[in-house]
Amino acid sequence: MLLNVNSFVDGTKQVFKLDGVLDYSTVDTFDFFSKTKEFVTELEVDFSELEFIDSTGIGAILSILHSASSLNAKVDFVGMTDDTKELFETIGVFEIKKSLLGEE
Amino acid sequence: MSVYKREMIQSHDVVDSRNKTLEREINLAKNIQTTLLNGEKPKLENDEVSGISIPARLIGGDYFDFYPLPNGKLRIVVGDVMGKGIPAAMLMILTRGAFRTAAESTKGPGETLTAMNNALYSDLRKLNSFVTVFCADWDPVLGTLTYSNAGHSLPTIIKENKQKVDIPTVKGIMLGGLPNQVYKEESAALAEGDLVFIYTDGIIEAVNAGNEMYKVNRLEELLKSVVVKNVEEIEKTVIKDLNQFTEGLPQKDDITMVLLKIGKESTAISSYNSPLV
Repeated sequence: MLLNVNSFVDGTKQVFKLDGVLDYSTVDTFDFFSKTKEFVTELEVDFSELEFIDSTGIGAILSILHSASSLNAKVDFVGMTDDTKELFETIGVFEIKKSLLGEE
Repeated sequence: MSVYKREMIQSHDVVDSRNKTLEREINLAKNIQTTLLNGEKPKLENDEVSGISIPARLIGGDYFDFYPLPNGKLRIVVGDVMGKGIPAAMLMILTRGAFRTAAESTKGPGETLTAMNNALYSDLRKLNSFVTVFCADWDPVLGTLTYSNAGHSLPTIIKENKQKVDIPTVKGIMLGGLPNQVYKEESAALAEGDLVFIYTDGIIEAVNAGNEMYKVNRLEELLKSVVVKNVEEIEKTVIKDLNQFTEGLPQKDDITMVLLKIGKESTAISSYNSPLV
């Protein structure tokens, strides 16, 4: 199982399209920090091609939220399946996102 | 023998010796974890309780524990540390310490989770890690399970007549997610024959050769089919079914389950420790 991350900048928005499996075995290939541009005001994580995410993968998503908080950037999660939404809801990812990024 | 060849042999001996030391230390770590995880289980007068944790590697990051309270209740905890292997196992030991300390000085499972998060938050944040934990107090006199949740899945409860019980949902952020969290509690009344099955995601996310997951529905159907058995038999059946499902593929994640089966009438717990609450 592999993970491909297609990262590109669109104006002041940086998009990360995740394709494959984001888990213990692939998380190190998700080099989020070196790919993130300092000038971005918005980060978009596209889950539409993501097949599976485990707790280590969620840890990587939390790192994005903390980085966005320090960059004062907003974060959008798009293309999430119902299973991924339910997992994030259970673990508390959306609550952390609200708290860190001051979302309503 | 040439100098080069002698140096190569010496270098190989050093690597071999280091590997043996590392292997020995990992096995010692495994023994420590196995001993701490599979400690003495509380004896209930009429109810049955059991738990097992099977790491995906030599050691793992799952955790379960029982803590008999002096008021006659039994505090149960199941936790899942982010990641696998040695790093997760180190944090699992930290989590165990936080639970044991918190269980001694807190009145309910919600307070226990708050105390655990307060104790662990800064370390987990620094390490970019987190732990999901489900904590519950079983009151054998009143027949109620009071529970609280830090990012974990809710247990599956099956009645003797094979009906699934829908218990009130309670949500909370995982330990290490945000500081100063207050964890709400909910309660469920349990009756004779009810089976409470608390577990980690390694069970429902086990994958077979066709890349299909075990899933919660399969687990629930299996539990319904064996609910009349005792907890040890149910535990063995779940492990056997998982092995059959995965057809011997390597286990991807740590697997942990705790089972509580309600007996005929109110019970008293034979405490093996006497914390002051």
